Amino acid sequence: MATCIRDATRLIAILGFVLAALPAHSDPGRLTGGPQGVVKSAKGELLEGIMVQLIARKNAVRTTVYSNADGRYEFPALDAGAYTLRIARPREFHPFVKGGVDIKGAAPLADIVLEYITDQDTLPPLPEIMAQMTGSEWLMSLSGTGAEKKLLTNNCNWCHSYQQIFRNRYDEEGWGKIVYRMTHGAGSPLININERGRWGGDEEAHLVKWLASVRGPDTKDPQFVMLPRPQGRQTRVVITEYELPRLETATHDVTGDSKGNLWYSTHRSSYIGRLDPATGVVKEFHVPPVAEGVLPGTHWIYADKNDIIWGSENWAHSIWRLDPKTEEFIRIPWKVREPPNTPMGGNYAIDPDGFIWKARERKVSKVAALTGEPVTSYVLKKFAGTYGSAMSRDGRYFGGGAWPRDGVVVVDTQTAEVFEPDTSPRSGPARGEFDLHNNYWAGGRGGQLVKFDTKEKRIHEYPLPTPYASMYSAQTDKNGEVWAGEMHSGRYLRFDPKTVRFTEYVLPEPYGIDRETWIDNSTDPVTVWYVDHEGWLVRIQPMD
Amino acid sequence: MSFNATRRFRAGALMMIAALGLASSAIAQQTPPQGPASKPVAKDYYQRALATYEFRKAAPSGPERGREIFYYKCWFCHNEFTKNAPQLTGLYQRGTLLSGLPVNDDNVKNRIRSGGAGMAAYKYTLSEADLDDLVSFVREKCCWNSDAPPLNPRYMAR
Repeated sequence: MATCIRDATRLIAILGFVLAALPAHSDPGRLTGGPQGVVKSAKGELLEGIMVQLIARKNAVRTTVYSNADGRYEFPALDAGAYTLRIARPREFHPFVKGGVDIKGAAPLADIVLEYITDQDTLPPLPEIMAQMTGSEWLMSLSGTGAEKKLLTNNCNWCHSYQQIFRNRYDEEGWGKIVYRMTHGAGSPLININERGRWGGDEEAHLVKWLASVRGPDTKDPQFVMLPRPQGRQTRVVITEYELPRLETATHDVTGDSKGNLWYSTHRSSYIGRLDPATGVVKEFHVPPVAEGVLPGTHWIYADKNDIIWGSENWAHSIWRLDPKTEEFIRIPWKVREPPNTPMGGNYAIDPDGFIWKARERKVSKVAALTGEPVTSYVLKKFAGTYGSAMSRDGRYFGGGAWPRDGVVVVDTQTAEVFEPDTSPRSGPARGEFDLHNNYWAGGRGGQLVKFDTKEKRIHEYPLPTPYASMYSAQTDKNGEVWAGEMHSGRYLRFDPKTVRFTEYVLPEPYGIDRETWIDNSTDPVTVWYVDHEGWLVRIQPMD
Repeated sequence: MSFNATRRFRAGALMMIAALGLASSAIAQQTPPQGPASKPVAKDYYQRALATYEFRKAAPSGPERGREIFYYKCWFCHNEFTKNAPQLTGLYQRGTLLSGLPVNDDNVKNRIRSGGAGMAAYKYTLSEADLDDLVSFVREKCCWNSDAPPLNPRYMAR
């Protein structure tokens, strides 16, 4: 009897210990096995939506999780070792950085206590604050009319962050020269200049005047208003960022191969890379030199079903094919009208049979990948071409956002029907993908997700909830949800068309410049990858 | 860049990042906040956006930082592909600027500050420290090579 009582007492003690070690609040879908803790303010408030980040000393891989409504955060299981613990984009709080944190299993970390910078609801214009502000927050904070800000977002939204504009000060003459170069130059390299430019009326002069008024030599920096911190579902995500070997390469697209590697392109350098997500190691591949006087760079990149990698050279006007086993590149000159260093519209698609599809010169063309010779064409009546190219999974439909107009091109190759619907002014649908029902989805520079419903034969548009955000691309997953990087809002969009529900995951850096996403549908929930144009590769793992 | 030079550069840059980052809570560079605030705000250079904002991704100062400033402020006109802007490779070996003034740090900086035909005046946007680093790059290492972009000191998995 005494033994029984002793055993029962021991069991209760063990159970009590185990229960005490568990988090006070367990959410469905929470990870287990990683370091955990609590974030609170110096006033004792439990803080939701704080981005807690661990940076591994051994490979600089950054893992970011988000505190929930109880201030609790939990990392996935991480390799044991030394890490730097910090808060990403602390904004209204003083920075928190703690080096040499020894991580081993699920050991709890000491409470993170954050101090407010100010007791105001706007932030002071200090460089360390201004650098954390998203493009949306910059535009919400600067003075000016909606029309003036629209001039900027309609014309300056694809090539770089808004921070890259607003960190500068010039007089009106200087802004005039900068804006001229930026908007009359072809593509992002700006090498070939078009005197006519892209402007109507006196829009260019208006934008220059506004820029000089908000970022002139003597203009006062604004106090900054902030977008809300993540809440609820927005906090149930893990974001991993991988450093890449080089700077200033203008990273562009990602694609995944069958072995779980991620490939990325750089559109202003001669390198592409292959990331092993398990180690953070990148193997670089040097694309053979292009012709003299031509800027190297790969735009679109795609791993086909045989793990052959394809890329398009938008300035050199060619396609390359890489066999990773032999590391041999084959370059196929592409027959286009544009002069070298001017974009050829290099966002292509490969169909299930290995043909490349594109829309240019008023036709949609199916092209033999290894020769560049057209096989079939579909004539366009309204639009000159598309910015992006997509093929439905069954190879039946081609789709792309019209360029340089606002609309969509969809071709039904089974019936030879060509659809060229308009979309709203300045919506600018660009790259996208077909969903499982063969509806075409595109991300638009105006901030709208655009859908062409192939059954209804009509357009639906879904504007982003965050102001001044743009998109470049949209991708769909196995569940019919749509994913897109929100350029300039520092957020990544998840959209459920069935419920018209937007979930915006807040990113550890204020950019979100995503040219093309790759979704790994082999995981559940899906895993989303993109390479930020600023130079790091990002993995987004939603927890539900 | 040789292998050893690459290692030295990487080690130096990593030390810079670590020093700046770890020192962020220990007041490495601090700016007093505006309005009612308790204490100056430290800089956390682990935030890539701050390094980007201040052109400190490649190095805290010197010609490598100058290379970064050059890329953002000069390369898009003064590159090897553009026909209507002067090339800057070998500028310091030429003797004179297009204006006829001798090539030296002061005259090159003045040109950048005041701008010229088609070129904005950078005096409102580049500080003296920025100009020092930029000119040291133009003098010693110019110019950009798209076939060999700079190494990322944060990348550790080489």
